[in-house]
Amino acid sequence: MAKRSVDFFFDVISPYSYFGFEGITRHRHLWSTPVRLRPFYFAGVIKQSKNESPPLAIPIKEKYMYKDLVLNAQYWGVSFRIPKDYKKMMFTSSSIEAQRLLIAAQLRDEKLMENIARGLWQRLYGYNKEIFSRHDMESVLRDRHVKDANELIESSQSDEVKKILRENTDEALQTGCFGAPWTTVKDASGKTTHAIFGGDRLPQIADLLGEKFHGNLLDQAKSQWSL
Amino acid sequence: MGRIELYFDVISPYSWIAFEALTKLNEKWNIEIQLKPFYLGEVMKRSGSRPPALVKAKGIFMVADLDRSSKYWGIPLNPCPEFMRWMKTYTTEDAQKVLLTLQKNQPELLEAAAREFWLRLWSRGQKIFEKNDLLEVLKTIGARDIEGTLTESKSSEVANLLEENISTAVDQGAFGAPWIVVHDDNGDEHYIFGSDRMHHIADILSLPLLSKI
Repeated sequence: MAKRSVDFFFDVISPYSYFGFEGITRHRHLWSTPVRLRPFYFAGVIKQSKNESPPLAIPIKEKYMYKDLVLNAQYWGVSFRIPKDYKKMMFTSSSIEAQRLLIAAQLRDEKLMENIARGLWQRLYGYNKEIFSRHDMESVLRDRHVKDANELIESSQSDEVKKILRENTDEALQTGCFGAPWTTVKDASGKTTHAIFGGDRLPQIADLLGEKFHGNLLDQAKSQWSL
Repeated sequence: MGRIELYFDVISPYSWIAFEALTKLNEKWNIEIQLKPFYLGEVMKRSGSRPPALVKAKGIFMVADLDRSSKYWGIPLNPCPEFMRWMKTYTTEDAQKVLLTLQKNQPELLEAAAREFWLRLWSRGQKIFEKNDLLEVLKTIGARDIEGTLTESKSSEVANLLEENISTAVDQGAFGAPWIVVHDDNGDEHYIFGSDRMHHIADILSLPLLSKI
């Protein structure tokens, strides 16, 4: 059978990206399908897709979402609290610097990027501290024992990094993206055959890839945290 | 042992997916599943929700997503080209009331009736809105006293049953369909929107993870 691959587009401001990221990274070791992790820019997606009714804009969906986030966090076994003034933060704060930092880290080393992404999510959704300023980034890099942290932050401002973030966002948009996370399945020729919205479709994604869904794989998670 | 309530409307294809998925999973799970016909139009109105297809990219996505999700569960779903046009003229309120009438008098036929409504609207592209449509459904599933059932479906008693299901779901926070209430062993209730959370339900009720059967 032709070799398929999967691309996972995510933004650290998005809690459902966090759950999707945990799900797909815990499964990757058990799958033979190549998995590419693609940081993209959530606010750019919302704007470009003209998605004017995110769940937070509708009170009853907002209420549901807070419960649903806790349900998801419990399922995936990640510590999670809703940040104070969450709605305001989601509508006014920009994750662009954090996303650029992830691209810069990925250029250096894939594992480093994953490590920093988890650090950013834990800071924002585990400890409810911001992840938007240079100071915030420095703090995460320190917590995660990243070498040459200042150089990494400097390199996140390069044209190359900005270009990759734009390209990732554009590629997701071209496949119909309107939110995060966004997952695409490609056939052996690199053509996108499926595009999937949300952090809760891993059973279906696995099925499309001819792989198995193993649930929340909490044991894998524990070994990742001990890194 | 866990218990699930499935609030649904036959207008909703994701309700059909949840219905069939839970039916299949329950061959292994053996839990109590209570069907709760409600009326999506009223749930949307009271909750201030908006249908996803109002955002163009979401509408396009939904067509692909329905195809993928129905194939995953082996459901013969075909979007009906007339659907958007019909939605301007008709509602499923009468169909939902027929389901509630069956649930009251011939509960053994409720599943078959719901499935036949979905097969008509979401597989064969047939209407489920007018008296003749309802009659055909009742005939197909072999219901007793078809005229009496249709008459009773217009009664205030059945209207009250529908109202009770609508208001219970909206009070719980429902804004769309399917709306699933999971009762765990500790007596806690968990509310789940949508058809794609079967792995969460398995986890909440400590049931085997059967992602696909």
